[in-house]
Amino acid sequence: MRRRFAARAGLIVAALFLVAVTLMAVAPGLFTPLDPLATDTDQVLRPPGWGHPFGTDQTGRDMFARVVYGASYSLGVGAGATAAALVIGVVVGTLVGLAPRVVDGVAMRGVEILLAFPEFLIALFAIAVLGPGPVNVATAVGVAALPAYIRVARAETLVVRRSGYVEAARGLGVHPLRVAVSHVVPNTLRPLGVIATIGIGTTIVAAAGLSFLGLGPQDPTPEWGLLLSGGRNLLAQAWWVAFFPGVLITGTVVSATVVGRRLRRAGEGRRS
Amino acid sequence: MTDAREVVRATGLTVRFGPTVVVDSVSLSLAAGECLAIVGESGSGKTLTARALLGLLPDDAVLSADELLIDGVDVRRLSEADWRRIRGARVGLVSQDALVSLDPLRRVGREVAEVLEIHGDPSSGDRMPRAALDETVTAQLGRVAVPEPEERARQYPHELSGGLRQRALIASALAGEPGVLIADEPTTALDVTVQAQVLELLSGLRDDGLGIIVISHDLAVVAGIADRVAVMRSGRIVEEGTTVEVLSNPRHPYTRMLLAAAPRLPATPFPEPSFPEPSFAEPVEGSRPSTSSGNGPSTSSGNGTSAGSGNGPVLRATGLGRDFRRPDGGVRSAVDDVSFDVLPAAAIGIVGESGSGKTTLARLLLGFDAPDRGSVTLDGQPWSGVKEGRRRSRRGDIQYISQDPLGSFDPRYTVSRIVAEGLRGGPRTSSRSRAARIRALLDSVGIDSSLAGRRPHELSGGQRQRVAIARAIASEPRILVCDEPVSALDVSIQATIIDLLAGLRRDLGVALVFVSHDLAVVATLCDDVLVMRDGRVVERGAIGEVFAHPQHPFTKALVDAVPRMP
Repeated sequence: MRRRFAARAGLIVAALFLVAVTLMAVAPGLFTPLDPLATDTDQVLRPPGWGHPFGTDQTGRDMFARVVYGASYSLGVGAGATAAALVIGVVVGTLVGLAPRVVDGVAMRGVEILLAFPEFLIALFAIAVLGPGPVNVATAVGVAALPAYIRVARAETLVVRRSGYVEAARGLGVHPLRVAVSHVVPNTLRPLGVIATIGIGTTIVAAAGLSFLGLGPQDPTPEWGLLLSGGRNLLAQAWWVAFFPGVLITGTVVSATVVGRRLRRAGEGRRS
Repeated sequence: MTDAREVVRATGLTVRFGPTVVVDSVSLSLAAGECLAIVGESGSGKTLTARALLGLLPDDAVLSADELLIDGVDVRRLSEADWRRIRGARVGLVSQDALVSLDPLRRVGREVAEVLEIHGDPSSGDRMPRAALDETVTAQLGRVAVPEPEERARQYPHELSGGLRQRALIASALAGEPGVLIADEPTTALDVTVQAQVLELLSGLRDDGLGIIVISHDLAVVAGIADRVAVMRSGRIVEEGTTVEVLSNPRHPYTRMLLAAAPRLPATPFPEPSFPEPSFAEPVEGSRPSTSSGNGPSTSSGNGTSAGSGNGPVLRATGLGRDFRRPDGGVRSAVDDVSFDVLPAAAIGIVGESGSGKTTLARLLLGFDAPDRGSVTLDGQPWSGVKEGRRRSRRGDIQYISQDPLGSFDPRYTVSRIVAEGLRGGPRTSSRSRAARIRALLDSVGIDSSLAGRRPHELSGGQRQRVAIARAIASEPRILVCDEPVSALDVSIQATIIDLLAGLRRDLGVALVFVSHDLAVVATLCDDVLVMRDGRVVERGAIGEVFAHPQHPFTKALVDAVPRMP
């Protein structure tokens, strides 16, 4: 009983955190009246306190405002890249799953080659080809996440394809295209949606990592990875500059994972 | 039997899950050398009663009882460690599916030896030396009539047939020489001929002094072996008495309903005119209306039948064959040289045991699989070997009802959407007339329209099969292929579904091809029967004829093995 309560409390905290971060991304003005780009040379490297709950950085910009405004970049890249990977993954995975065996074999060997490399390495490679910049970071992260989605979508398609209800639809004389649209894709989406929720966390970390390396948005854009990197050299004097962006990244990733796992368990319960 | 030693005694046995009472003050007793059958439908609490006697209730179940004695030991307050000393040594369990119950990575002999290693020599309780162990294992396997026990002991479960696996499981349950054997649906997963052998084995063990409790949904199965029967419903024993009493003179209405619902073979010998020629099918030169008499289609039954003509066969199979490659590279014919005609509104049963090729045949008829030899025609037009694109528009003429309706429904769909998928023309017809048609279809299969918004997992097994039938008849098919459509259902539900199918055949004039392992079900529904074995039709003809005077030895064995009520 106690364990269940603790798990539930964790889930509620995680969900609330995600809601808060999403609100930051959509309406940062609700959280702070301050401008994340406004410098104030009188307020350089102030520790957290009244007026500046997260302190200020070396040019006197309010860290709380920067973190709040940064949510839209980080979440935007994370959600955008994941959504793109999900959509393309479902389309390609379903097609591969329904395609003749030869096509399936060739496509899956390609996917397996991509899966053999760490996701971050693929993202780095994509950036090297595309060049740095915020949109390219999202693209690179999405490309890196794509193989996993293709693989899961294909596996789910193979399961659904052999299911009794697809055979039943075939027996009813339903056109294969219609079967794919009305039975196969919707039934592969459910498990994929859950994986994507967990995947958002991973994507955010990857995007923040690329920004940290200076390959994403450039200063003064308040992106979490960039903020972290900006605070790196100040860790000795002003821990708060790196600390709070780090907390937000970690919190978002953990929350997305907790919520995603819970959704997965709920989905499994419903299936059996 | 009354003066024999009592091995099980339970009074006021109650099992709760939270506030829900699932077994409600059940009392039973069992003497050595006696067999008690607990009979009930799914959800009656019969399995939980059996588990309570083994101390194997789920963790969240709460057990209470005024008295619960196993072999003289009060087991109400036993710890798990104490239970382990009881189970195997004083009470043994045989469950339904031996393939699941036996460890796939362990040789059968080890399975039996394990019990002896844990409990020691049954007579002395001492540790058994290796040689004595092997000897006892062989003896135990021999006792349950496993042929060549020494060799079988070295084999893995998957290398044994279903019947041998069940015997091995019984041997392992008996290795510790328990006084009580609890058999939970011991023969449900077995073919009817094998079932008869296992039942014979159990009654032999009973005669040797073992107390047996058999849990079953099937009154006919227990009729042959049980001395007493307890009928359970909703957690209570509603009727108990000697088998003869309960079966010949049931007092409780539920028992009477169960007995009436159980499909059975008409008592042999068949009175000759018990199956009149169906009046709706024009006999085609000969006495057997629906099946051609030879092994190929009789030439007289109209080679030049024009498409869709009223009297030509709806479906004709000619020399059908389908081969599968075996793992060792050889070829196995799952279906071989099968020919028959189905006339409009006729009902043909296809009977056989598992592996006889009956499901493969059904798939060939439906065009889900392509035959390697022979052909199928539907309404006089080629059906097998036609491209799927050209076949699609004709699929409405031949429809399919499977054993597992839940698997054949998209889990996201509601009942009305499931049925709508079966309508011809798809989304073209106007939504209002579609809705009315769906309501009418659900009504015709006895599904209340208030269920139209439910999803498949919210329906009972019987309701699901009704929805599957509604979907199948939505396109007004000429023929329904049913693959074991009632074998997963309780007997009382089974009877209503069979009635429904018979009614559809009468009212809509739809022909039925009814694939089943259950001769009794086929006998109640069909006019003609094909008996299949190893992919071949070994016997065919009118139901009454075939079951009353079986010609082929396999048909004889099949008919003899059907459990009968006294």
